[in-house]
Amino acid sequence: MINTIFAETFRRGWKTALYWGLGIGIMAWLQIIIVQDTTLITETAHLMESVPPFILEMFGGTSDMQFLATPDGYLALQFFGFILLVFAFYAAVAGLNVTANDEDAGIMDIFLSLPVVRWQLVLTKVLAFILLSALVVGVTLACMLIGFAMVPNIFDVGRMVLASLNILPSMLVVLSFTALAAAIFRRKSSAIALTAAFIIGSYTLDFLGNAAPDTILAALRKLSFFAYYDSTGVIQNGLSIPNVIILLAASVIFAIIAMWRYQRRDIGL
Amino acid sequence: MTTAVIQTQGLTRSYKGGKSKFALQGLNLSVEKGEIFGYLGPNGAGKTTTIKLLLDLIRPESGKAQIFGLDTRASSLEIRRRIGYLPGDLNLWKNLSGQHVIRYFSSVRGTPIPAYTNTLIERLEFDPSRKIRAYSTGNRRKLGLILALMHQPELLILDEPTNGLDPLVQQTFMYLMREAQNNGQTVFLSSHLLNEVQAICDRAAILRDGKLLSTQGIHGLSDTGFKYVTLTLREPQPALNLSGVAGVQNVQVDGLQISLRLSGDFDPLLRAINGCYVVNMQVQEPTLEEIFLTYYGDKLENGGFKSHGAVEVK
Repeated sequence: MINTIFAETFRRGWKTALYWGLGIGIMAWLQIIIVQDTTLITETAHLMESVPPFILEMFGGTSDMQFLATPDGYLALQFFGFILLVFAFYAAVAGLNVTANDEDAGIMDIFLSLPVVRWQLVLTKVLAFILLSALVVGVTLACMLIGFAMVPNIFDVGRMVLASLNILPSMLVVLSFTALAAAIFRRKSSAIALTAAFIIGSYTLDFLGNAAPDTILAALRKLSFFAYYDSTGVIQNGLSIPNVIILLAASVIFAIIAMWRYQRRDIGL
Repeated sequence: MTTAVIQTQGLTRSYKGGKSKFALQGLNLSVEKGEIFGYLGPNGAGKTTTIKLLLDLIRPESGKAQIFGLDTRASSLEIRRRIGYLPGDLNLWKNLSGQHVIRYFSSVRGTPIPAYTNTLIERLEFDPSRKIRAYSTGNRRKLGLILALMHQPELLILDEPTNGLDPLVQQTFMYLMREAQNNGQTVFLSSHLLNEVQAICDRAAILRDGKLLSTQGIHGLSDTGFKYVTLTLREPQPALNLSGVAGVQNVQVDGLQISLRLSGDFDPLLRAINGCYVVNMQVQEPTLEEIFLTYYGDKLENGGFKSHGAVEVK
């Protein structure tokens, strides 16, 4: 049963994941190709000098102008800084596909008349969408690697690969949170609203906390999954294992609560 | 000795947000093995709520239900292995073909596509190659029937199964139900179409406003104690007054023809027309629709139920 649902979920989702990966990957590829124009990088760095630090933080940047003036810094600002929002959107859409879309379409009534354990259904579909999320990141990374091959010896490719893989834990947080929201609410619109509040709230909390380091917002920022994403930090210093562990732990907790809740609540009606 | 396939005791469930509004109230029901059981009631009576409780899609506030002697909550998985279900409002993935859904459901059940599936496809004249979005309502119902019947489960739970089916397919459906019964399967059929229940069910329960009003054999359900009598006389009888005769109601005279509704025995009527030359006498049993309305009418008077106006019947 689990294998069947996993395979069917993947079968129905792989094309969409491929298109997402290609779309984002082409965007990244263009940024990589542009880096050959060193004037552009320098001008961008100069432009950033005039931007207030909190605005830079808003777009996931850094106020380290020396770093921004490098190709790696340029990509950190122009791609990795904001792209998590796009990946988070995919993860939210995927999370709604765990149960909310089928329930909203009235399909869950007949499907759950089959010998399917509800918590196993949630787990299986979350696992399938984790694989699909990895596919999105993988295709994006493949496009980037093509770009790196076209402009050799400019980027620290190893760090860029890590920065790409660093997106995945945050995606899992959004995916499992959306699955949880759908397990809590029977209305899909309520699940969407809660997920949107979670993503936008986390984003806002992160940049406000960064922009106002002497206020309580800086402490509250730790509640935002964006705080553990830290794309610039990964490119400058490598992958932060504690951050990855925190994000994965949050994902597991959200998924477990989602399974527990969906096992117990009414379906449809 | 019979065995209850479905057994409920005091099953109660209220609508969300409406503390005093019960979707189902204290339902005590027993469906025996091998019977085709009709579950009758107007829309909103609680039929679908009962089915969802049996399938463990929703949970009761009080009471319990058993299927095959197993608790519907504790042994839900085991029960669902042995049943087939057709929802009243069937929805499936619109971008998948009928064939794909059949294969998927079989696979989730852990079995290859049963051989009986092809028989069903042929008899229902269903084209499984098309996408769900391309199917008419009737074809979707056919697919729903195939999904419910293909693994020949011990218990079929069918919610308004003939909705949207044309008369020929309805006929095929009735044959399939008889065959299922002959095969030892039990059928729990929810419907608001009384003629459907009358045609195929052995017993029926009548539900209204979440309360079970009656459970009887189809023939017992028809036994309301009245019938329609039409007398054709050879000569006009202006002096004949049947209005005061015991058990006679609704007398209508049309030339030589007298129509009336008779409750109880024939004897008072026969004595009253003694001396008249009766050319013909027709006796017609009431239809189940009339029984249904009569039954609800009685309950409206005696049970103090709120009137809903016309009961939805076909």
